[in-house]
Amino acid sequence: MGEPSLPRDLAEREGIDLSGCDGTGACSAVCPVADSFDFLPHQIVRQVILNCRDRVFRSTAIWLCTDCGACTAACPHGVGVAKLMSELRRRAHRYGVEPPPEAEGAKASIEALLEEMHGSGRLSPGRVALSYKCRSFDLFTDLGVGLSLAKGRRLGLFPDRGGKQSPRLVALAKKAESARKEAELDRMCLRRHTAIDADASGPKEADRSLDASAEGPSSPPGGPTNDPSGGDRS
Amino acid sequence: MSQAYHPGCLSASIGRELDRANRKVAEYLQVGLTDCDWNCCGGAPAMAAGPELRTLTATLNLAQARSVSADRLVTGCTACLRHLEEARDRLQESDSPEGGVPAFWSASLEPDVRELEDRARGVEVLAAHELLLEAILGREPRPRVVRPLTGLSVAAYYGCRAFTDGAGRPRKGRWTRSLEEGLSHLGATVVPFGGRGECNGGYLTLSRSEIVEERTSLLIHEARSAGAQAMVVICALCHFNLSTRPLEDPLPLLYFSQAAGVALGIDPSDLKLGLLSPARRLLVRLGIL
Repeated sequence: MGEPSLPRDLAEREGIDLSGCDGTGACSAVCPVADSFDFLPHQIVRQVILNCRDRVFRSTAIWLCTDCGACTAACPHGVGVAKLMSELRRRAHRYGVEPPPEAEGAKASIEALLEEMHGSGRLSPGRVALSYKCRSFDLFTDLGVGLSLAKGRRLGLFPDRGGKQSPRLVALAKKAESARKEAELDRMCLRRHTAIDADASGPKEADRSLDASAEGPSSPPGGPTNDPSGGDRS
Repeated sequence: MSQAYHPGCLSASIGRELDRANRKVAEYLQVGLTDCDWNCCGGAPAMAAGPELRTLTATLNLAQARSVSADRLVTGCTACLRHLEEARDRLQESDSPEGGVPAFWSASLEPDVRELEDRARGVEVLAAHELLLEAILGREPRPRVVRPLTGLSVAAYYGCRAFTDGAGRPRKGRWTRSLEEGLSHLGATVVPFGGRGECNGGYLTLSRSEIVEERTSLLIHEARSAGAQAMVVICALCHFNLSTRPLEDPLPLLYFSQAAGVALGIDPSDLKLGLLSPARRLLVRLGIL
């Protein structure tokens, strides 16, 4: 098959080279939030090296990572663990992989923040929190904190003036992102995930493009990559 | 020299004291801060959007410094700080002939982005507390300390983003790790604090507050056992987490600019140090105020 492995793709495309990792585990030793991960940072690195896409894209770790960079600082071999985590998160978000329940809130809060950033150019915590609460159906947690912030007039429910360049920037960023020409790879990774997600909601846009590309001679339908029970669950 | 300044989203809202104190102390020290327009660069969660948007917004924010004819951009937000420094380094690299331009930044972009980059290139990036440290420690003679913070034991907390850069290296710059030095100069006793660069959970406060509860409790426990009576912070989100989330009794919190303002003799109300705030009560108890 012509499908590039995840570690090779990350190295070539994003400059994230994991070949130096010898499993020291320094990243996991210093990670401040690793207690809440399903896989510790060094396990994520190991699974990426072993090309276990399914496990890494469905892990809570990539969503709960706060990108503090302690792992990268601690690695004696200079592996960019934090960069790897954020790239995995970006890909999971882009491929539409649903995170496990423990990380759904993290995903909802990220989406709330991104929406606000795309929309008004500057964040107001109050609106981000409201948007998050609507997404996560978690309406009553932190009500007291929110009220005390509102009382001090520091919640900010109205968009700040300024930051008006935002829509233009978002358009440009999207253009830059599409300039990565990663569509081909996206399809390859999606193939696995749509195969796994076959019982999930109706076909997405990505699935349709996937079907269109599956006609090609290089990927015979029903091949090993399309097998729902196949893939990297070994 | 005039500096462009932007507070960042959180210092403009939940951390308004930080913004206010930064401005007051800068004004007192006669460091010119000029407000410039800015966009949110997304903080940590922008990672889900990929590097394009955050690099572009950070580049725009750098270029905004030029529009108020400054060649230095001072930010009140540590997440902004990291993105701005990333953008600055990227621009420096792309200056070289072989071009360290990452693959995503293809030549197909519009010319106005090139123009934006040309304006942004060479703008120096500084965190607000570093600017104040420079004005307090780097001047000869140093500004007079009117109300020395004698008797106050503090733990200096940088948080993750002001401590290391995105690649895990100590950040470049003379004043990046000088909080302790600055606080000692102002008369405070700085206790050794191993958690000074450790993340407290950051934006997980919205979705997984129990993680932040645990992290902040650990940090406060450590600072307290080292003998700290208060914690000095520089980041609005750290301040929010450390004041609302810990399970054990929170330590009184001061922004560095508030601590510096008190020591330099600025009226605490001008620093938004509320009458009932634990930090102010502690300062009164110690006879500093």
